[in-house]
Amino acid sequence: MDKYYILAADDDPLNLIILEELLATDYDLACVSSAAACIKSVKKRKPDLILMDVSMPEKNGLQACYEIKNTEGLKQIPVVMLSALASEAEIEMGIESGADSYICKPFNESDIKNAIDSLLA
Amino acid sequence: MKLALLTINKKIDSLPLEQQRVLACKAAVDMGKRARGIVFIYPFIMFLFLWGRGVFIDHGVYLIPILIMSLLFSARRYKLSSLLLKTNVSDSDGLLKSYLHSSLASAFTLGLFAATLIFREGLSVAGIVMLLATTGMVSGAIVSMTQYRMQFFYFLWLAWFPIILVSLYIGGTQDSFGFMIAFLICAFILYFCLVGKKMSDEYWLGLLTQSKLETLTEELKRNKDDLQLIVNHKTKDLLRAKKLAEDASQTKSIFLANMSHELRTPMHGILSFAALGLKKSDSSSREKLNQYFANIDTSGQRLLSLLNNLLDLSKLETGKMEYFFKRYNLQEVLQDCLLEQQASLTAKDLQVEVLISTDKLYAAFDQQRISQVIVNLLSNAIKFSPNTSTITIELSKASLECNKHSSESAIKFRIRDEGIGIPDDELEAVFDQFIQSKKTRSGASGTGLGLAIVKDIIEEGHQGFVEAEKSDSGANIYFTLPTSQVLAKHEKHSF
Repeated sequence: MDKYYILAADDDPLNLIILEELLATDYDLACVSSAAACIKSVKKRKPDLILMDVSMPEKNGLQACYEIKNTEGLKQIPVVMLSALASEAEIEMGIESGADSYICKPFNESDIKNAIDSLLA
Repeated sequence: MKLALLTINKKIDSLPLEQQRVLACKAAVDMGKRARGIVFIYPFIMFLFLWGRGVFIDHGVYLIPILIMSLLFSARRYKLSSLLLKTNVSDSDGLLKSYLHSSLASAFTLGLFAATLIFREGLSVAGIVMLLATTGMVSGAIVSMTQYRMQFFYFLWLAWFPIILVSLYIGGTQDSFGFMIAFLICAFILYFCLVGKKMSDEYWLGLLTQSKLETLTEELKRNKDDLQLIVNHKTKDLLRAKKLAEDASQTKSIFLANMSHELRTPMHGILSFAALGLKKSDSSSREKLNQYFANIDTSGQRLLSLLNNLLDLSKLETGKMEYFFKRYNLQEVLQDCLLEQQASLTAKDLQVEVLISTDKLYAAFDQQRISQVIVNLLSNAIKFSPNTSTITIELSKASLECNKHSSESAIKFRIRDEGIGIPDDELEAVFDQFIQSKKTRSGASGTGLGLAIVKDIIEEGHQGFVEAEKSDSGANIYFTLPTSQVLAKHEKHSF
């Protein structure tokens, strides 16, 4: 059985390394370092799930999520926000942008895997 | 100097002259209003009387000249009463005197007319009717002249004096009833004097009360306006203070949110790589484990740098930051900073172009603090630069103005990137504590402390100058570092 294809967007290289370490064996993981690159990549090859950081220069994760969730053909892709912005208002903004789940950093392996599995089930 | 016509009421006489003038002017205008057309009633009644009784034919030779005189005096009264309506404080006294003199003359012609008629006709029906008409007309004067009590008394006597004389004459020669009439007239005059005095007092008292009321109303209005101004001023101050407080509160909230983000990010790195290391310590190679430790170290350093920034800010705010000056080559310090940031530069595949247009690169500064400044500026440029772009750093000769007449040599350090840049209206604000450009606030993280620390170190610590300049693309920030003046200020430090 083919592995699920997951696209991760984060401007911090260390965060991408962590995701690779946690997910690369179980999923087909691709990493990009900006929101613009994420949208470009999504249009090129539709992922089964997107992991999106919120704070990124130029276009942020909320804007990218909103764009994806309002584009025909892409809106059904589950988006999981991964962010160090952890206040209630910030989580609410993430959900309002269309995200299916919001995980605050720091998170552990089971947090992210449970979120992915529940959305891909 | 006293006003000639105002020696009437003690309360009025005791007022300051200027206030007396104002009241006299008001009274004069009142008199003008009351007189007007009524002044022609005397000659009109005289004319009717002559016409109705047919006495024109019998006594016209005596009475018509008196009627003409009365008409002339009435015309003058009418003219003066019109002027009184428009009078002002400066000329009301003279105008009023003229008017009252004309009134007295008019009264005398009236009395003369009645006395002549009675003298010619005797105490016939015509004479009695003339007496009654005179009584009515003189009574009318109580309304128009009463505020000037003495003039009103003169008016009464002048109008009645010829008639009294004629009545006494008739009493002595023809009919003793003439004595009775003379007595009745005297009693009438006395009664009217008493009534006139009472009305006069009441009039001036009313005018004074009205004047005081107007003054109080004016004062009240002025106080109200003053109060309104104070309220407006205070409201503005309060609104300004409220806005400042709201801005401060919002800035604090943004700062706390940013701080939370800045703490959580390296914490996530430390915890994640530590967990990975623990989980894979048996199965992973030594190199892999070393990589985990290196990443923990990177995240830890980032956390430490954040804490140092906070401590620095606290020191800068309390003025406890210490500087140790020594002569250094700025280019060498820059090279060390570039080496320190090499990993970040490589991660984004960024190029750094260093342009040097001066050979005087030595200056006296605190190496650690200037390194901190350069690293802050460099890490900002790295953070906001798109991958594979170029960061340009220029070192050039400059001068700093000490005063109007002298300047000192300095080195200018400029850094430009190809990132999102700083909006024109935020070029100054980005150096304020906790302030982040709104372009970066919603995107890349940060505490808003870095540039505030840069400004303090350069301007307060080194007497230099730092500024963000307009740029078509990317941020463009420079600082100017004096080469020697700093030493004088900090001569206690060795170098």
